[in-house]
Amino acid sequence: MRRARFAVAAAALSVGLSACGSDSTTSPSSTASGPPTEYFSGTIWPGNEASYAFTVNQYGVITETLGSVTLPGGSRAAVDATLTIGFGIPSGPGCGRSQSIDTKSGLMPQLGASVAAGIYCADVSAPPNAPGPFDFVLRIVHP
Amino acid sequence: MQQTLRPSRRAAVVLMLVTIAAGGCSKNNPSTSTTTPTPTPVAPTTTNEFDSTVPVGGSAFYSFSITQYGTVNITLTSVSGTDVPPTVMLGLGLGQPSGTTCSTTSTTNAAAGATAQLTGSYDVGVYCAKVSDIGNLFAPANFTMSIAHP
Repeated sequence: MRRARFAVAAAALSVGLSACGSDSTTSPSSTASGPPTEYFSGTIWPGNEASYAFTVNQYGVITETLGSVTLPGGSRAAVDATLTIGFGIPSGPGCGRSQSIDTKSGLMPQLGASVAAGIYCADVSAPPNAPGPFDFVLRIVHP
Repeated sequence: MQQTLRPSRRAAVVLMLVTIAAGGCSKNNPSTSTTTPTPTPVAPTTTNEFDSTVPVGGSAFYSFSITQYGTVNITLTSVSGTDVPPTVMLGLGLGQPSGTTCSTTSTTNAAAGATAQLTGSYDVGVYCAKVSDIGNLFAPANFTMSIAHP
C-alpha cells in the first residue's frame, strides 16, 4: 500500500511539473518572403516634389529604384528624363531629404543607405525646366 | 500496523502535491513583476507654424519630429478665404506619416481659436498634424496651424 501511495504522489508531481511547459515557445516557421517592397507612383510636375512615408522596422538598408518615367496619359511612352530621387525623414509639408541623386529610370537601385528603425520618406522631384509632367514609379525596398 | 488513507484524503494529498509542483513555475509568478514608473511628459520646446490650404473635401498635413517624450499641442489659429467663414469647423488630427497621407490616431473638429484644440503626450518619433475638410467647405480654405512639441 505504501508503494502504491508513493506511485500516486510521483504521478501527481509529474503532472504538476509538466504544467510548467505552458511557457514554451514555438519557433516561427521560416518564410521565403524578402524585405518589404513598396511602390510609390504618381505624376510629377516641373519644379515640384512628391513624397511617400514608410516605416522601417529594424536596422537595415533602404534602396530606391526609379523604375519608370513615362509621359502621362494613355501612351505610357518611356521618356529619357532625369528626375531627382531622395530619402530622409518626413518634415513639414514634404520630405526632409538627407540623401538624393539625379537619375534616369533603370532596373538597378540608384540610391541606398543604412538606417535604424523609424519612419522615413522617399521623394521624387523634377527640375523646373523639365519638359512637362511625368508619370513615375519608385520602388522602395526596406527592412 | 499499516495506516491507510481514505479516498477523499488521498485526493486532497494529490491535489496539494500538484499545486505545490505547479507553484514552482516561476515565470508567471506575479510576485516577481516590476512596476515601470510612468514618465512625466516634458513641455513643448519648439513651435512650428504651418500655413497651407485645405481644398474642398481634401486635407493637408505637416510632419515633425519629437525628440523626447512630451506634450504636443495643436492649435488651428486662423481660417480664411473667399466664401470661407473664419468660424468654420475643420477636422484636426495627429498621427504618423504613412504613404502619401497622415494616418491620424487622435482627431477632433474645431474652429480657429487661440488655445490648443488637440493635445496629447507622445513618445520620440516622427508625427504629423493634419487639417481636413469635414464637409463644411464650399471653397478652398487658407489656414494657419501651430504645432508645439518637444
